[in-house]
Amino acid sequence: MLIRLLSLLWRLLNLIGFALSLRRWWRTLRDDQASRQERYAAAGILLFMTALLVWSVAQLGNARASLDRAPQVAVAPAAAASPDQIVVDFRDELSLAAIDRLDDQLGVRFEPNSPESLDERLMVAEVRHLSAAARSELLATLRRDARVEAADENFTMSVLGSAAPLWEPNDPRYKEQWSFPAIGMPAAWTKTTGKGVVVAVIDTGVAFEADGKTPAASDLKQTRWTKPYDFIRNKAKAYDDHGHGTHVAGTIAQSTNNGHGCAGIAYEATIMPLKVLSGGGSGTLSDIADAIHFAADNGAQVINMSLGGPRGAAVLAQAVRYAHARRVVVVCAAGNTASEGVCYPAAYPECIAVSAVGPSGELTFYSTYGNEICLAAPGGEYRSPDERGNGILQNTVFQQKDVFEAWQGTSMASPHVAGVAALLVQQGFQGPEAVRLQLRSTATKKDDPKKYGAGVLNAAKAVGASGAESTFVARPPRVRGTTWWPLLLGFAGWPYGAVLLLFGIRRLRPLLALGTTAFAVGCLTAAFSGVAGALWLVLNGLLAGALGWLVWRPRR
Amino acid sequence: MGSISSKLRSKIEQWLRDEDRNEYGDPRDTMYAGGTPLFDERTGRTVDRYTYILQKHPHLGAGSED
Repeated sequence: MLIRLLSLLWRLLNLIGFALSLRRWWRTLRDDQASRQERYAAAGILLFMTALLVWSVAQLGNARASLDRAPQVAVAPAAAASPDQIVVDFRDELSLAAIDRLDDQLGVRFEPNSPESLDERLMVAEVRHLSAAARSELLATLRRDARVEAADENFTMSVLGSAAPLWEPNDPRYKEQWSFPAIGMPAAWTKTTGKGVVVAVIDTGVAFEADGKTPAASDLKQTRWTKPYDFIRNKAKAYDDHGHGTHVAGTIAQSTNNGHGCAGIAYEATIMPLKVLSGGGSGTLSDIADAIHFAADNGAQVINMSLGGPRGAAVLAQAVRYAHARRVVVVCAAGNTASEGVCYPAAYPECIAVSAVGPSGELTFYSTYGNEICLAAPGGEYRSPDERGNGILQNTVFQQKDVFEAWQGTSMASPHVAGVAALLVQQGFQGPEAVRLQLRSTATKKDDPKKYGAGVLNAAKAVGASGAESTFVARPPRVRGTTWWPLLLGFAGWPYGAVLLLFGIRRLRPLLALGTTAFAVGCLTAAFSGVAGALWLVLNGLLAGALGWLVWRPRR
Repeated sequence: MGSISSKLRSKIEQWLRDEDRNEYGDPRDTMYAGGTPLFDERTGRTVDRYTYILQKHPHLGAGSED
């Protein structure tokens, strides 16, 4: 508020000074006793000052326009309170008679959301007569039904920027998933949830199904999956006998807003579980290359590989090139070597290599770094068991138990990027390079490209959502060759010129000359070093004040 | 496992070359969850590379003073 007031005052004083300066030179121009040279000088100075004013105002207009460019019309759920309605998107081919039968079966009445939504079979139903538990049960039943494409609570929506909070899923452990708000997921979810995008998880398998004594992961029950394959045993199942792949898949598409466990980034995406790593967590290049080909040939649009090794191989490079040529986005973990030298396949140029940052937004102690890093994402960081809250919490299976555990690694960072890539694919970004460009150009900038590539993943910006964005603290951008410096110079230059012009070079006193020069140097320093604007405003205010005093002081 | 002498380290490095193994003592085409077998993403524990190799190939340490 104070800064705004100072800024207003400064502009007002500058305008007064400017008007007085104009008046002085206008008089000279019209003064019959002035020499021809003085009148030419006055005309030139008047023209220059007018041009400077117009330019400064234009620059100010540009700056305001760039501030206004942020989207303001996105909608977000206003509250997660129990709604009175549910909304269900049935399959389009489902008959109305079948929906009527469901009415009787479930004890609710489905009505079209609008006349236009009848063809889409988008229905709403009043559920205020049901308890919260009964509503959850009803939703769970509907989501399991093959005739239902989507079912959800019918939240009230409001324009972002209003006081309404962004939607958060009702998964009880979502609050422990610090990395999701950190990359702006609540805002991103108002735009897209990755529906229909197929993400291949090439890893230790994914526990979508129970395998002997090992249960299925409880928080993947509503997650869609397709075409599993085990490349170690060569069979069309991809059980997870390690836990790594299930954890990774959870970050991408954990069953979300189901009142259980955690959330996933692209929770309506479809996972293609491909097992290439054994229960010991290792595998062979050939199996991985096979899996990449399989994913590209079977409809995967994104591949996540939270795996790697110290050396590449022609067969692996060729597989990655093949997937890239088939327009598949390939996202890979950079490695956990705590040293320079990105692992393979992440180091291949077709891959999006991801390093890991902790809750502070700084590179983690374990992350590999190097020239090939494309961007960084949250991977968790803790050094003692009591800091496990700083890890990445997801559901997995471990030692034949269904568990929720916080892990840390670039393996956890990579699926954050893969999940957001799936959101972008759903939005219509075509091909891996378009996705890479969008991820990089919207990342929260960091100084060291070897550690962070283009910066830290920002899901909200990537999908074009406004409102609560990344909470990672970005280093303040240096004011360097941007919109700001001509603006600063434009405004800073003219009072300086006005002082000179008001009193004429010949009558300029040494102290005034020193003061104005110091002011100009200060402005230039502020413009190029990013010194706080407040100091600059104070300087301007002081100068404008001095200007006023010089103009109005009593004449001898 | 105590500290590993430079002599034993040299022996391991020679064995890696002779057996055409990768730097972790595994076949050269081996890939790992997270890119390295030395960092456990579940526990956050890191193991020394030579320790890892000796755990998997204890015969390399046999007869050494370590």
